[in-house]
Amino acid sequence: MNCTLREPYLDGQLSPERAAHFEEHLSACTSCSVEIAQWEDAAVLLAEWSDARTAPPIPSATSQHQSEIIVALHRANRGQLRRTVVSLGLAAAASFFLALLLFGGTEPQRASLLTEVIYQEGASSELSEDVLTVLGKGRLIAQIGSDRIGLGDDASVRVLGASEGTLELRLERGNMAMDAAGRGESDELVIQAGIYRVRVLGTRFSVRHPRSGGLRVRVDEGRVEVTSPGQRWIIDAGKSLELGAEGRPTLVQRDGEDLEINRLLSPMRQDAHQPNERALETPATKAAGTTGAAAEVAGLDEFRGALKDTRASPAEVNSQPAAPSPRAHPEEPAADDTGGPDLDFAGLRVRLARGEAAEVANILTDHLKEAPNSVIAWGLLATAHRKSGDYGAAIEAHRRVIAQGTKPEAERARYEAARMLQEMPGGQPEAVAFFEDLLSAPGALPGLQPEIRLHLSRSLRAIGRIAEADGLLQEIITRWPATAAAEIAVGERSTTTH
Amino acid sequence: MTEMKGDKMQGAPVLRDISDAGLMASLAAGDTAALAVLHQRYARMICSLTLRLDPQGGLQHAEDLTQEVFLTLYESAGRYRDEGKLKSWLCGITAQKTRSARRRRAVRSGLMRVNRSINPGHSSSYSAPVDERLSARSDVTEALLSLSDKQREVLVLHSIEGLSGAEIAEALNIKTSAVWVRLHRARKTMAAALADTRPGRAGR
Repeated sequence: MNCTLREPYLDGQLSPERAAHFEEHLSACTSCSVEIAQWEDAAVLLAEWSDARTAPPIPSATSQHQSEIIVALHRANRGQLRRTVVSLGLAAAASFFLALLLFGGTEPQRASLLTEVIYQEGASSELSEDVLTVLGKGRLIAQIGSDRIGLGDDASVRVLGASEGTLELRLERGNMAMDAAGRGESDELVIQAGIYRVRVLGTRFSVRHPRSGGLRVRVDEGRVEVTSPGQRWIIDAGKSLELGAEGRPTLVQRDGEDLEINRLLSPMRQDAHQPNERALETPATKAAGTTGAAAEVAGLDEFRGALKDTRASPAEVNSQPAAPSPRAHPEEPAADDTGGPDLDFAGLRVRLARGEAAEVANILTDHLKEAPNSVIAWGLLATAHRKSGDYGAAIEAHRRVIAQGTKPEAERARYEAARMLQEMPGGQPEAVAFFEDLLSAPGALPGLQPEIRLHLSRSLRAIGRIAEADGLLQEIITRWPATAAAEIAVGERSTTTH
Repeated sequence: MTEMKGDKMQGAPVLRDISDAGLMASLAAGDTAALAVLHQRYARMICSLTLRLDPQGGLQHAEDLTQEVFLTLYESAGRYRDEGKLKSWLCGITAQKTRSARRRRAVRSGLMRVNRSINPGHSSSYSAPVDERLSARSDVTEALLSLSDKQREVLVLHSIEGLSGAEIAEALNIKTSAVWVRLHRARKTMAAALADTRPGRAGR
């Protein structure tokens, strides 16, 4: 019998006989009885301590959002993507997206994919649960699961089936390019076009399916398999396959970069590469006040009907005279034209989520030596430093974003920096200043209004401005009743006032 | 233990009532709606556990780790076998992730600032949480930091999270006897440290 039986004894894990034996030992062993008495005191302190270290309640909307981010991260990571951008980033608050749920068939266990229109340029598009269509001249980039698809003039794609790892599309007409994440053996990405089936074995390619029939497939990276009844072709990177409606197929070696694939998949304005490409100003876009600019997808429903009448004839791609180029979406994160080398920010985000913060920070630090004005890189560097626990460096990176970024970027950076300052010795006054800046800026971080007040109240309390802290909590309780923030606010109000 | 029982799970009214094992099976079959329900059920517990296992980390750090834990849960749903409680399984993943995050941070802060002590017994500059509720029990924080990671894991899982010896053994993939040994040492150290600090605490 010895002292190490104490824990199973206290835990009630000993059989009655062994427990009785141990109690005999206990009555004789002074060190055991002293330690048990000491532990009981310590246990009380530990319980109080752990009560204080309890995370705030998590609203169900947060769980919903987090689960979507996790699924997107997983898809992106599994595909070891090269150019596909994960637009559901870790701090997705600032990104603009339209979520459509695509349902694969009618099985009861339906799997859903998040389709996100991430960039749009030119005329307009028609979007429904399973169809993406560009109406007239224009361009549309959408993310379907881990795959990115770019649609050209008048192109229309129907999603026939979508579930995890499997995507089946039908190109009804027009020109599409796809940046598909690498796929496992059990995954399938199939594009139907007329009698042809294009099966993806690799990553970047484009498919053209003119109304007259036929098919043209160009492969930039990876491999693609094309089948028609009784025939099969494998197309490797750098090659194109052209098939007439009835004519003989030709397989040709391409030279140089494929401008068409780049054009369709580039989330940036096109004037650098394609001076002839620009938006068609339709009466509808003028009416919607988006003349010459990227149309906001969210507003499309309102003038979708009007656009149907303006659908352009299948004009040749480059026949329009040059005109000012449309502007990219202001919040499009991939448009990092700072002149520095290309960096795979999406891949870095995934690596961050997988805990490789130190490596990512090194890559970004090197990148920033070449491109010190890349706000995206500074923002991501801040996250990487934060995840490594180096709050000081993270805050410095946020300061660069505050100085150089757009208003939403700077606001987000202020918030993140203030959250870290709160946890640093002597950081509270500056945290208070940042939070107060955010509260005084009209329209800043609309989704985080209660949170900003909650955090500000904690910082104010820490520096002794108790009455102001309680005032903020009261404001939360009044303005956002029945929310998790209000629940926390009730718990944090000091008992001495009110 | 279900957190936020009263909360409405939007869009998944039926899933809310399904057992953990049922949700894991749905998730393995590709129904990602189950993930949101599991998140609602366990994210707060995991986030709190991280705050306790890593007393130097802040809330943001805990939220990041919680996301990593759920990414792992999602990716291993197909391998989950309904043998033990999901909670123990999640505690095991959380402990493992917290430990490696602490290690990464120690290595990094050692590299970045040679003169900063990486002895976990001294709180480093970024760590001390200023939130009053958290700093009030800094004696306990110091005492916990004087334990080894392994001892702290067992103590927190047992004395705070309420897992049994057998559940901890399963979560950490160690023998039950090893749980008792670690717990014994951890309690002894904690009791001694807190008895020392309480009468006339010297402060830091």
